[in-house]
Amino acid sequence: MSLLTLTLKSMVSRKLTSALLILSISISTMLFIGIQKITDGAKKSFSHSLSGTDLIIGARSGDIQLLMYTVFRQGKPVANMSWESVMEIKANKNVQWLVPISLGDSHKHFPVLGTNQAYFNHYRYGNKINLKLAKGRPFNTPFEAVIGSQVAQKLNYSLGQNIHLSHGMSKGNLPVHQQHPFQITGILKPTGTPVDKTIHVPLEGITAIHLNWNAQKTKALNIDELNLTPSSITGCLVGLKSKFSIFSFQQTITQWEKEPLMAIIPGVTLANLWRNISTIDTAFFIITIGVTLISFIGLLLGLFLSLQQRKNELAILRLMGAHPRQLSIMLLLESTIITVLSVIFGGILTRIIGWFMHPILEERLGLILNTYAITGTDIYFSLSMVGCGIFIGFIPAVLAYKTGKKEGFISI
Amino acid sequence: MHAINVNHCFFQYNATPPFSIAIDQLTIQASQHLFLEGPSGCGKTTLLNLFTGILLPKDGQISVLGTDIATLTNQQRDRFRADHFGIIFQAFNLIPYLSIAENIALPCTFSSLKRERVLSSHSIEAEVKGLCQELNMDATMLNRPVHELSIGQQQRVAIARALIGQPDIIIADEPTSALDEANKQAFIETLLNECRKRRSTLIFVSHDTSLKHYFNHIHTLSKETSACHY
Repeated sequence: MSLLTLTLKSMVSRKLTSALLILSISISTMLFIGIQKITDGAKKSFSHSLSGTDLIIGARSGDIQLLMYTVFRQGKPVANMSWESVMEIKANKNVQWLVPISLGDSHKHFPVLGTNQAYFNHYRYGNKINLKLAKGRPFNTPFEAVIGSQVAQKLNYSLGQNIHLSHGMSKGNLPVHQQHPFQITGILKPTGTPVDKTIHVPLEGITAIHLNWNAQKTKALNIDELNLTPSSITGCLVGLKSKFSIFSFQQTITQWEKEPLMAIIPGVTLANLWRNISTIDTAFFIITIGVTLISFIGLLLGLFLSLQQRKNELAILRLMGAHPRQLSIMLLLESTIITVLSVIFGGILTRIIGWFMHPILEERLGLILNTYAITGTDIYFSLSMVGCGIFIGFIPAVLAYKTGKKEGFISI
Repeated sequence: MHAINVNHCFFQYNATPPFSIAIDQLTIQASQHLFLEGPSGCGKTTLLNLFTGILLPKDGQISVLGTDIATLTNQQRDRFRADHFGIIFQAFNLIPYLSIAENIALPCTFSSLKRERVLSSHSIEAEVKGLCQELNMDATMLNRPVHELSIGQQQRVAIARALIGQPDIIIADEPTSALDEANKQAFIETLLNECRKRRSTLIFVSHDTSLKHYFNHIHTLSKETSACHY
């Protein structure tokens, strides 16, 4: 029988202690990997979601708020900006393109975004990638819709299907805009951004369904006879002709006389958001280190206790001819086995928890997480956990060696 | 050939009260069965620790199988003990989490000599089975945990563990103190029989004089050879 089998059998005989040790270290592994994955995912999904936009303009509120609802569909706009201002900004000589954004409606808890053709031409994400259609075409008439890949997948929608929008974005039973359904004309390719969960409709459609909001029961609208120009929208994404004019144009918007507006530079606001996250990140990191430290102290304690409990057993092994070195190898093996099992179990635990947390994090925070991929950091972390375990195992191992050598430890 | 030869040996514990043992001359021939008796506290266990190199004499010489064990390093003495001695303890000392078969085979894990001796004829499993058969143990019990055994059965497992790998010297330290009369007779007959078959030297330590008649050679440790200074 090898020392490894001997160690394993001894550990199995002390199953409760061994299992508790493994549980405590796997929980700290899970915390470590989990927190790192969440912050990593947050950073990635935030910076991934929008690119190529120079300024985001909306009614004056907080910069992070404006970013959160225009790009991530989180939170609610405080106020709208008037269509006159939009037209004026669009006409500015510095502006190359402008994408209007109108939020406020939803469909089965998926946000609805009113916009125009410019959205498909100018909205970019990741490394300046344009949106691409998987099926169909962009909308042309007011009552057409283009849906994100996740909307299509989760609600099992296909081209040509008619959908009704609900008024408002909160949960629960929302009043439905019954007068006119929207027909799905296009489904976008997956992007890994909030676009996937968005239903895009023309601004005119949004305006139309709100016109007769108070007279729902009247017959279907005759859209040709109505003026469907919106009076106000939530905000807009703007691309400038020259990057050098970003700050001066931002200044122009801030000093807008007709109404209080603000313009944010997405990258700058993201960095702000980042800083906020980093503080929480650091706090979590410190807590996690504390938890890990405690679980390793637990491991040390467990090994000491096992050394005490096993004095008699180790003495028999010594009498059978085991060298003190072999006793310390057994203790080292024990701490190694415990940490290796813990890291594996912790990894599995992270996956299980991730599986449950995934939809919650996605829905509540708009994070697109990747808890399934094993990253280089995970491997380094796992190896260093095992390293710590082995290092800690050295303490009782040396003690076992010394005890084993001591005169009087063994006697017939 | 001498199995063990003790010459002007003196040993003293650095304890309070100091305890010492002095043996002028003691020779145990190979294949001899020796009954080592004496009242408790006269140093029987100390003497066994000296024979097996767990303790070293302060003065004089102990040679085992022609080797002066004081000349060996700690590690060499450990190996020497594992290779040449089979030990039956007063408190059986079986490892609780190992099965009967694993307990019996345990010395082969740490003594390469014992392992090679077994492997020269057949596998370790076969040797364990053979020993169990000789000791009248049910082969179906081999994979059962040791705590399910009665005391008499545990003692037989301890004999098997001492016998595996054909050690030159078997040491039994008060092995019958936990056994009832019937088990005691059976145990000693089995042990003597097995040692005779293997031509092993047996050193049987007991204060139970009723077992004396099984042995031709008897050595008595008295209070004179050892001294307890209060």
